[in-house]
Amino acid sequence: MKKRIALLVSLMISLSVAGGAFAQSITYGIWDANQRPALEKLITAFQADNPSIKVTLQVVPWADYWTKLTAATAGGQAFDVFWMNGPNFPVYSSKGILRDLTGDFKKAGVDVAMYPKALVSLYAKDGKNYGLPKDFDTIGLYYNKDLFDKAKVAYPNDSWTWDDLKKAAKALTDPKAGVWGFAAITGDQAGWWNFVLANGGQLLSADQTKVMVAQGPGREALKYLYSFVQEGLSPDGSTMASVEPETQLFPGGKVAMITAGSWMAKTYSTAPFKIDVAPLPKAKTRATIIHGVANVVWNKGKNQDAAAKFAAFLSTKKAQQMVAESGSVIPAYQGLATQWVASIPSMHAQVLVDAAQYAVPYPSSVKGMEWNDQIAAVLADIWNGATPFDEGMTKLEAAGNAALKRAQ
Amino acid sequence: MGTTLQKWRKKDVWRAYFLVGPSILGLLLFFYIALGFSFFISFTHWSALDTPTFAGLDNYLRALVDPQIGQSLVNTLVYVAISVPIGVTVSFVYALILHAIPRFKSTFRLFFFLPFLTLPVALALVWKWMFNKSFGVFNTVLHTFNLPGIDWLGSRGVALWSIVFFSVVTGMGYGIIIFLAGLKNITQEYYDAAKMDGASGFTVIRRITVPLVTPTIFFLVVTDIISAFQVFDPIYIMTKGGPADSTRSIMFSIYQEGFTYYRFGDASAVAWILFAIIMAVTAVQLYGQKKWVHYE
Repeated sequence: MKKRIALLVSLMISLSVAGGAFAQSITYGIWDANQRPALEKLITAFQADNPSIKVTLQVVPWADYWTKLTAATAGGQAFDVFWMNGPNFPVYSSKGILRDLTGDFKKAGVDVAMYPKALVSLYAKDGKNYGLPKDFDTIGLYYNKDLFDKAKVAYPNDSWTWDDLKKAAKALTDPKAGVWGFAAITGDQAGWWNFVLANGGQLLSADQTKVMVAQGPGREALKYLYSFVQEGLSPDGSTMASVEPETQLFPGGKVAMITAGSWMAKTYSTAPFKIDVAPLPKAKTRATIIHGVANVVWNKGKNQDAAAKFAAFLSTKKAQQMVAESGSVIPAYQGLATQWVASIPSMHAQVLVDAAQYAVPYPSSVKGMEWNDQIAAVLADIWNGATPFDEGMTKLEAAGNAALKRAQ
Repeated sequence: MGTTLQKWRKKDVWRAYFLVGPSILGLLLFFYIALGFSFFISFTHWSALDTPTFAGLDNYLRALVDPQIGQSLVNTLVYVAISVPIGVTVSFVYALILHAIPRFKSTFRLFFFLPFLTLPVALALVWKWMFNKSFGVFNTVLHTFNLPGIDWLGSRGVALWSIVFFSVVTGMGYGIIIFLAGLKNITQEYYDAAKMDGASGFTVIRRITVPLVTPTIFFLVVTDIISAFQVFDPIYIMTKGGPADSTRSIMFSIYQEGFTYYRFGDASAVAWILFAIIMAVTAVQLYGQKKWVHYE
């Protein structure tokens, strides 16, 4: 009996010693499972240099990510390192739960100047860097070459205007084959925001007290987008509500063209159709939303220093190089985008990198995004025919403004 | 005899405490403390990311005038008023039929009960596909009969009914099981006596079966109303409260206030208002049962 206890004790000791090799264990929360393989490689590389730190990757799907993060933070169990986006940064940073990483970047030899200014400032406050963009993304017009060839329509190019898009959509729509020419999605970042901006409109007034899309160029842009649904050139809202246009209808060959983010390029390149990408068509001007996800660190974690070290590592040139080679997203580090383009040889992915030149930063404000959620709900109603367009515009303006007022 | 029983009691009382202890602890931790905390939070402004600040009755007053919360209250009441009577009636009728089937009773029971054991979220996800306007199975069936398709989840007058339809079909297994148990408890002598008096089948159901299962009906109505007031899963998965807020339920509003807009104070206040409503409705039912529930 004694022997057995002794054995048990020694076993426990050896276990804890083995555990000691990973003395500091940290979690890394992300929302995109597509990027998992690339990030696992980064973690392996980091752990090779820092054998005393163990990083556990946790994927929480986008739909639940912010819910889970809020609950976990309130419960004192947030991820040690996690993905942050533009609209949520002001909320999290104003609550003082993110670690100032300025010093950690310096220690790791990260040159902040090598990152696009518009995106660095998205995650900075009072001159301090709370995170650096791990990547950047723009929006492009993806098209299914097979469907274009079948309908004998010329591929989109950088001279395309909104009229060209409409004409092509008409030529490509084939109700008998169950094919729509274009998916006029109700999504914001990949959808209507870009159209409003391309038409010379703006989303919010300069003082952020009013939504500006129900009038003038914004309204025209929404009307243009909605016309695709009205004329049967795009699936309607109800159809797209339960069958996703970006991940199901377009790669499934039911839709010939769609506006989608650069983060979809790699996935589309493996679709069973020949898919390519062109710049978004022009209206009064050309515009795309640019955004980049940042790695941030929770400032109440047990192994905060290890977490900061990992976050800083992710922003080093070495790590960014690995991101570029994986082709999963465009690395934010200057000069590395060419490698990302080279990793997707079947597409003209360069247009998505070049789009950064005419890009507009992702809207972000301390007022949160409720105004946008309110608009999204009304747009969904217009798109599925529950609310007529003009009535919808009145509603959208009232609901959006009320949300902005409330957030003051 | 009396003394041994007393001895047994004294000795085992501690054992009993020991056995219920863990669950009491669990309930305290995950239910009662959380309950008290949410009551406290309802009088504060709290984003979950910072420390709460006292707000007095602000959250309650705002909930009472907020049009979206008002709309969600109306929708929830309508949902309760439609789904509970339909659900109880449908499961009663099915239970009667199943009760009358002489063979394979347990097979049928399993057949109807199985859907109830499936994860509601999984069911809702599948039904969302089935309801799809262009690719869904319901419209495909309608089209084969040359009928026009219905926009199940996308049109204002239909969406709430689609949710009711979903809830009734996927939830009736539970009601059927409870009714079958109730039907089994009815003494055969009543039926024999009725037969002797020459009562028709319908009269037997109306005069004997229904009055004698009123305790079961009462139980189901009370519990169904409570859970119908808290309808959330199918709405979150299938409609997100749309179109035009026509399926927005109170629970959905609570969820959105808290987890989308970081207003946990408002969310808690609405939750307590919902609690008060459910309490009141249940109290009225408990009081009213004297008038119509017959215990054998």
